[in-house]
Amino acid sequence: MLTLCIDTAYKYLTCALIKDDQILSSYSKECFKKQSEEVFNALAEVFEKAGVDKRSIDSICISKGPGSYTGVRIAMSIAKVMGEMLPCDVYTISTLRLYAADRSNCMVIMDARADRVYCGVYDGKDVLMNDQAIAIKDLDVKDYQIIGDGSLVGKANDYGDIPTAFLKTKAVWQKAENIAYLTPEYLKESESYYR
Amino acid sequence: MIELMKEEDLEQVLQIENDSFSNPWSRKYFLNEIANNDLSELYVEKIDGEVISYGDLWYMFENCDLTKIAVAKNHRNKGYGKKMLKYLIATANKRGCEFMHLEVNVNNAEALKLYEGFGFEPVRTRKRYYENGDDAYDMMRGLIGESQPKKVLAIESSCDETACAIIDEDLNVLSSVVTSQIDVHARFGGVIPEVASRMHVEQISTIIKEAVDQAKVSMDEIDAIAYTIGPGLIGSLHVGAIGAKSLAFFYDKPLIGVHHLKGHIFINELIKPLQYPMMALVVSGGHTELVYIENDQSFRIIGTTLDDAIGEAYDKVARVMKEAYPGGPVIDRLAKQGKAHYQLPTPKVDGYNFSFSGLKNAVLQLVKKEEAAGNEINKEDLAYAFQEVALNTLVKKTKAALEEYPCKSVVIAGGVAANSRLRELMKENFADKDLILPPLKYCTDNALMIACAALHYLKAGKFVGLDASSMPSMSIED
Repeated sequence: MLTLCIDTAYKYLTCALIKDDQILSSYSKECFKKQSEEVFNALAEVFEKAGVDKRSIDSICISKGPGSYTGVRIAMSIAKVMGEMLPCDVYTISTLRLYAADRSNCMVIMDARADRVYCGVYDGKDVLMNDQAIAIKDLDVKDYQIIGDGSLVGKANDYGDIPTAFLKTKAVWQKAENIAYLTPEYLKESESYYR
Repeated sequence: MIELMKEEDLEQVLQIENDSFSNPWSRKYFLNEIANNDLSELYVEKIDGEVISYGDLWYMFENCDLTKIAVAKNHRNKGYGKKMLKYLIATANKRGCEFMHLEVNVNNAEALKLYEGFGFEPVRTRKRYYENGDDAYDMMRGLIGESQPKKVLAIESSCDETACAIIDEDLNVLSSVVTSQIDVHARFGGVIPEVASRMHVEQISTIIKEAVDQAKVSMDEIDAIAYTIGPGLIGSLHVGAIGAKSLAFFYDKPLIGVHHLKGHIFINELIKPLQYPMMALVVSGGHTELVYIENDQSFRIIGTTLDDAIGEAYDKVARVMKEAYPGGPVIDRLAKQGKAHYQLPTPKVDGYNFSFSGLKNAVLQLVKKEEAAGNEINKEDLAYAFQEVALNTLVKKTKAALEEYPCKSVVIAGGVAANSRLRELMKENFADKDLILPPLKYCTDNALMIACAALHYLKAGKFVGLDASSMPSMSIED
């Protein structure tokens, strides 16, 4: 199975071509709020490096959020449109779970502004705490390894190697049953915008 | 739009048939052609339900017979015959025919000229073919190697409609799919940008798929991908841009970034050819502009609103009157039952610019004053007063602009172009010009308009890269 992986949910623009258990090519650069302009150049680069035809992919896997709202919509829009048109299968994974990769006892945090973070806690394939938006002061970091915006809790920022993270999380990618109905995971309901 | 003829078109077609031929086909004959004759296809061009022209093709293996082509009496000499003929040739070619054949009276100079212009050549003369003794020419034309008209797929997502359409360069509409979020935004009384962006993502793949399926084309047959690059809500623009770029990237197509308002202007070409120079009064929820258009590539804003857009003013006045969003249709409807009663000040702005915030505030003050005095507001009369002042301002400025910038045609474009009173006023005031009032279905945002404008970008070779940024406050002059 040849899969195009894309993560535009947060600070990085990452894409990778994964064939079975091997990364054929990858691109991962910090690109906050510029993913929309850069993403197709990055895609062109990974296809060229891997020497595969764009339309020969069997599937697309994207991080579905949480993250920057504009960011999560980029990968989601590409996956939905090409999933319908090529067509190909679409897989999704939580951005936090992706960044956790296969680490044990790992807390992933991402700035959600207003002194809040998106947070999920993972132990290998197990979910210890579901993804949620939470106040920084309410975080219980215990002795978890911190991935993501560690600087918010006095640690170093560390986002890991995202292309490798796609490969390592392959077993927990979720296949979309109906591509038309796929939506990003914002962790904030549309309803909350109505006063 | 040219489509297969249906039984509902029969009465109109019969009228044209009887107007056009001394030996017309009968009702029974037409019905048989539609329902029973598997070898033949009848095509009609309709505008707002009115049949403009029709043509009949008989498919016989590698040969295709053009058995009939006619244009309604009041629409002759406007290029509709040519458009139909071009369509029929392209259709026969698409069906895999190698030759096209027709018969024409040797004395019908006009028809001969038309057919010769499209590459038909007389191959033999049929003596005394017609009842009156006239001869006929058999004319033939090869179809092999005929190039299909270029096709553009366009996406619109600048505000609260997600839409995709496919059109060809002969202005044949192959598909047009629109989903509107208006019901959702009506709950709040306006568009919430984040919610709009989310709904675009929900719809984006479905509308593209539907447009391609309806057009019965493959992506290989599409020559360019177009999208609204601006102006509009940034988050909304992004989604359409990513959708369009995905297609352009994966299918290696050139990409066209269209200015939204040019779409509102060029969609009128689906009605009739535009004549330049042209004055466009662009009126919508986001814009109020007078645009002088010297030719299809040259746009100059000569007047614009200094504060609220006209559509915005309608929405706000509707809110003051505790009426639903969007305000345009509501106020238009109320005003029809209203009379001159309330006085509102006419905005005074120099040159060709507009201002509506003073008028909006005057409405607010008037309502407050009446409420304080214990009087019930007559909504119909208030709507009437507001609408008369607002719309007459538009018309007056357009008139003044035309003095300085003489134009052959005048067009109104944008959502407010659907306003019945504005359409009335335009007809009253610009009867001496070629006045273009877009059909109501084209006034709201759609992707067909983006496709129509994209054809002009395509012609001029104006493309953008896959790294193009969306431009939320782009000017039509850019």
